[in-house]
Amino acid sequence: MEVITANTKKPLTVVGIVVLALFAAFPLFLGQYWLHTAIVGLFYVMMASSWNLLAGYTGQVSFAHAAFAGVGAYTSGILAAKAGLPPLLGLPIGIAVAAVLGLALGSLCIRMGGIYLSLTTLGFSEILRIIVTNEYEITRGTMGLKTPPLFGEYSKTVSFYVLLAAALLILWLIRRILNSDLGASFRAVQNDETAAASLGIPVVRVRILAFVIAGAMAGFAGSLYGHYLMLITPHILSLDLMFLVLAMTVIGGMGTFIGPIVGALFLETLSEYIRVYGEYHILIFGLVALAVARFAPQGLVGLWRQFRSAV
Amino acid sequence: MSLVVVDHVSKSFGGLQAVSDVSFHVNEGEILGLIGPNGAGKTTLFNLVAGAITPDRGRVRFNGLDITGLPPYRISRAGLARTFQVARPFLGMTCYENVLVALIGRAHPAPDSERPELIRELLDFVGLSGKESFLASSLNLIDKKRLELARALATRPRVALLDEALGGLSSIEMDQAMGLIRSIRDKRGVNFVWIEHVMGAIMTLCERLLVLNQGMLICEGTPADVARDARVIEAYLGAPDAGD
Ligand SMILES: Nc1ncnc2c1ncn2[C@@H]1O[C@H](COP(=O)(O)OP(=O)(O)OP(=O)(O)O)[C@@H](O)[C@H]1O
Ligand SMILES: [Mg+2]
Repeated sequence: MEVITANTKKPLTVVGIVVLALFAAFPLFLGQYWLHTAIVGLFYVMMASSWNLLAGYTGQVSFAHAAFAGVGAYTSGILAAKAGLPPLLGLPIGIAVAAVLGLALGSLCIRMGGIYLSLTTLGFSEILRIIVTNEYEITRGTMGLKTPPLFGEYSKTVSFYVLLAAALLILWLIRRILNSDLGASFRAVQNDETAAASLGIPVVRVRILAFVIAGAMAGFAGSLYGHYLMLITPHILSLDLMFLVLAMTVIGGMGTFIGPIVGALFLETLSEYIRVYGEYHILIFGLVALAVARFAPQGLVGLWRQFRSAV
Repeated sequence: MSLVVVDHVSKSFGGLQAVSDVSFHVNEGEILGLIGPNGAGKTTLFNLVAGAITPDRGRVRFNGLDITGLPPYRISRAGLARTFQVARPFLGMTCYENVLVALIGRAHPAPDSERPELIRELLDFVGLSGKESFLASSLNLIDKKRLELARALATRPRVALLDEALGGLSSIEMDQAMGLIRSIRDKRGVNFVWIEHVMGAIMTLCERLLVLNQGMLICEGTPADVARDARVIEAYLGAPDAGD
């Protein structure tokens, strides 16, 4: 791969297509266990990439991203389990509810930056988790809520392709946003809000919009994930999951398009190998993420780029 | 016609009266100088006009529109641009992207097809030819100021507020910058209010000066008038009896 990508940009697209084709062929040669890992990996690709859009491109380091996934999952899950609504109809409702909550939280945080925003979103996330855990009648608390699959009979292979298509859709959308005027506004706001405002950028609107978009994407990912697992527990909106998403993004490369994808797939695969040593892996990932944030702010992608420009 | 009318504007920070009952106007086609000792309230006055802070009392009108209390982005879109005392380019973005943001921020964003040309033209104009793809963080001080000026011009302003455009520049760079400001006024019809500590420059470039001291407007007139004014001399040199 080094030889192909060393000189020009074009072979990178070729590499992308080859990787994608290989990935799409997974169900042909992967066992059920690793297929499950791949599906979970795709969920995390969506989570990390959409969180990166908010945190890596507008600088709003929210800790409520897992909470938005939980909102998506529980909304369509409850609608299906309690009201018999087909998940395919519950899915857009889950996205909408997550988007509205994104609007509310984004507006609440508009005068905040840095650690205050992080703490406020963290508080929001924990409140939501506590509510979901305690409203046993509706959510069945830690017992978990049983939900039907997205459509038809349960099938891992179908789920894999659904999640793959969803992840590609999310990545395509993020790419479009980053290359649009909105993407340039995101980066301007992250770099310097005062200067951006002095050039006519509506900073408040841009920041809230980022919350809404990222929230909706997390709601989408969470809803799909819930119907794949067919059992939704408060783990989906826990800080454990949040920190895993954060570690994936930071280790892969925050503020880069590829970083969160690489980070999510890499850490999800790695967790499968080190899970046997107990549930400490999130702690370890957190520590590694801290070191990466300090010494290689652009993560694995940044290191790779440095390596390439060095040779 | 007066493009900007500042009408009895005041602002205090806690107990400190930073700007106190200041009124002035900016005429079509002029470069208006704003001088005063450190801490006189010059930057605060800019912040009040550009909407970064809201006055306690008084109004600001621009182009016949009351802009008091409007958010900065609305004021920018109305045609009033500003630069900062310490340049604030988007450090993590290229020169090209820095100017692009200003084209996007316009009330009617520049069409996609015209952008590359517009950006290159603006960067050429301020003397940043060939640096489109340079990160703003890699520029030296004068180039950062140039970039900020290109960005402000990209908003297509009627009036631009320049906060110490020459601070930290060598005398050759100062001459270049002054020529640039004059040609922007002549070729692009942009009017300037210009804060500057470099007296020689401001005396040659401005037809009219305002002098601020301890938040108050103490003098207004031609550079020659201002240089003779007893209160101005006192403000800059201390009380007249201090030397006795
Ligand atoms: N946001 C603020 N909060 C509190 N005090 C402020 C604030 N901004 C300015 N000041 C104070 O107001 C006074 C005027 O400051 P200002 O920056 O307007 O002066 P200036 O004329 O621009 O000075 P300089 O020539 O040094 O740039 C100073 O005493 C300053 O400390
Ligand atoms: Mg100042």
